[in-house]
Amino acid sequence: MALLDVRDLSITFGGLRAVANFNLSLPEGSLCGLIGPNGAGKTTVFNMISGILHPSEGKITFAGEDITHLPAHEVTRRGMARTFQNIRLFNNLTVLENVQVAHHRHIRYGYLQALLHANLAKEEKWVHDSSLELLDYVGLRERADQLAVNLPYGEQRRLEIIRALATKPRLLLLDEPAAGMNPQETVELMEFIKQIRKRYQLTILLIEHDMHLVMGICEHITVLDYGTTIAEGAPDEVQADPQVIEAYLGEEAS
Amino acid sequence: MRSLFQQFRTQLQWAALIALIYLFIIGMRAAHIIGSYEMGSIVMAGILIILAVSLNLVNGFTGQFSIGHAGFMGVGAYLGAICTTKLGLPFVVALLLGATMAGLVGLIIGLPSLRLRGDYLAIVTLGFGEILRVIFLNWDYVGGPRGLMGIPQYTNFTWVYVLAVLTIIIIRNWVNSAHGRACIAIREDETAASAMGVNTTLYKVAAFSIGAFFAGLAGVLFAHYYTVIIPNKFGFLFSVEILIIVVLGGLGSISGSVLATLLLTGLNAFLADWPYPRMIIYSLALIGIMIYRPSGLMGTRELTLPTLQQKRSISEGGQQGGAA
Repeated sequence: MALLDVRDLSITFGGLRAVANFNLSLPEGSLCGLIGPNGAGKTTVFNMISGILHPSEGKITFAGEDITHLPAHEVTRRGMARTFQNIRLFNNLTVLENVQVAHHRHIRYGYLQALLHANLAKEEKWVHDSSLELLDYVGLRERADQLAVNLPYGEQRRLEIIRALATKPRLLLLDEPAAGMNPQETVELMEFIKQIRKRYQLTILLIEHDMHLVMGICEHITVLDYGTTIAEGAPDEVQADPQVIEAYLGEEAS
Repeated sequence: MRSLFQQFRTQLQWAALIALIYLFIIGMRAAHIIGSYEMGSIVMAGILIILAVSLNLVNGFTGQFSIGHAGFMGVGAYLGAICTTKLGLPFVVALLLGATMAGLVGLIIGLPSLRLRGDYLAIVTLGFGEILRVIFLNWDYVGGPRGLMGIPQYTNFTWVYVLAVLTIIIIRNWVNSAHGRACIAIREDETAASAMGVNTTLYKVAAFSIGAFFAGLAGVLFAHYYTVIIPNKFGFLFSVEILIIVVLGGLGSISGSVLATLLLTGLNAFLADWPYPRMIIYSLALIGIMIYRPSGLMGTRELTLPTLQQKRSISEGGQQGGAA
C-alpha cells in the first residue's frame, strides 16, 4: 500500500485554478521528484499535502488515514515533515533551539508542569541530547549556540532538513533543497539525501529545479505544468517526453 | 549541559539575592530612609512588574501584539474588590478568583481574536479592553463611573514583592519549557512552527490566558492597595503604559521588563517635583532609548548572575550565542 496517496487534488484561489486533478502515489521507501517550470503549482501541492493549505477538491491519504482537512501540526504529528523553498528557520533562536522546537510532538509533560518546572528534567535532557546528536550528524554541533540567522546559506539548508528530521517523520517533503547551491554543493546534497533516507528509513518527495539532482536520485518523477500533471514515470522516460521538453524549453525547441 | 550542582548553586544565589533585596527595602522603611511616598512608588513598581512581565509573554515571547492588558487587570481588580468588599471573602481567595476570572476572560477573548495577526489583533484587543472598561463604567453594583470605594487595604509591600517574584519565576519556567519554546517559535515563524508540529492557535491562546491571569492578579493587588478603583484607570492609556515598559525593556526579555519598570518608575518619582518639564523629559528619555537601543534595553537577553558568567552556554565547547 502507498504511504501517501493523493487523488484528484484541486485548489482554486479566487478564479485561478492553481492545481487541477493532481494525482500522486508514493510507495513506502520511495524517493520521488516533483518537477515543473516556475509557477506550475509544485509548492502549492506541497502546501496542500502538508496541511498548510486545504484543497478545494480531492483527497489526501497518509498511512491509510484521510488527512485532507487536518491542520499542519496534526499532519506533522502523523509523521510527515517538510522544508520550505525560501528557508523558514526560527531566525532568532539558536541552532540547537531550532532543533529542540521540532521535538515538540514527542513532549509529554503538561502546561502545569511547565509553569512549575516540575518533573521535566528527564524529558528536557532527552530533547537536548537528541538535538545535539542530530546536529552532530550533520556537522553543526559547533554551531549549536549560534543564532540560526547567522549561519551561512548552505548550513541553513542543512539545519532546516535536520530540523524536519527531528520530528521523526516517515515522509519527508523537500521543497527545492538545492536552490541557490553551486554544482559541488548540489552533489554533496544528493549524497546527504541518500544518506538520511537510508539512516532514517524515509520516504522522500522533493521539488527541484536542478535536473541533475532530480535525474540523479529520484526513482519516479511527476511533471507539473499549469497545475496539471503532464508526464510521470522513470527519469529517462520523463526526460524524453515531448510534452516535458515543450514545457521547459518552449514549443519552438520541440 | 550545566550540572545539577551548578543549577542548584545558581538558584541559591538568586534566592539569596531576592531575600536580600527584600530585607534591604524593609530595613530602609523601618529606618525611615524610605518614606511612605517612596514606598507607594515601590509597591506600584511591583504591580507594574507583574503586568509588564505577563504582557511580555504575549507580545514579546509569543509575538502577538496585544494592547488590552489593562482590561484584564480591571477584571481582576473589580472581581477581587467585590470578593473582599461585598462578599467579605479573605484576600487570598480574592487574589485567586480575580486572577482566574481574568484568565478565563482572556481565554474567551483570545479564542476569536488570535485568529488575526499583527495590526488587526492589536485593534481587536484594544477594542475588547475598551469593552471591559465600558462594562465597569455602566455597572451600578460596582459604583459605575464613580468607581468602587472602601476596599480594605490588604496589599502591602510583602504581598507585592512575593507575588512579583512568583510571577517572574512562573513565566520564566514556561518560557524555558517545550511549551515556551513553542510560543517563541510562533513569534519567529508561525507557518514553520505549525510545520514542526506546534498547534499555533492553542499556544497563542494559552499565552494570552496566562498573561491575562497575571494581569488579573496585579489588578487585585492594585485595588487592595489604593482602596478605590475607577473604570477609567483600566483603559487604553494604561495598556499603552504597560506596553511601553515591555518594548523599552526588550520584547522577549523578562529581566528587561523588570529593569524598564524600575527605570521608568524611578524617573517618574524623581521628576515628580518638576511637574511641568516632567512629561517632556520622560518622553525625551523614551525617544532617546528607542533611538540608541531600538530592540530595548535588554533585547531578548536575560540578566544572569555575574559570578557564574554563563549565558545559555548549552553545549560544551560551543560558542557563545551572540544575541544581536
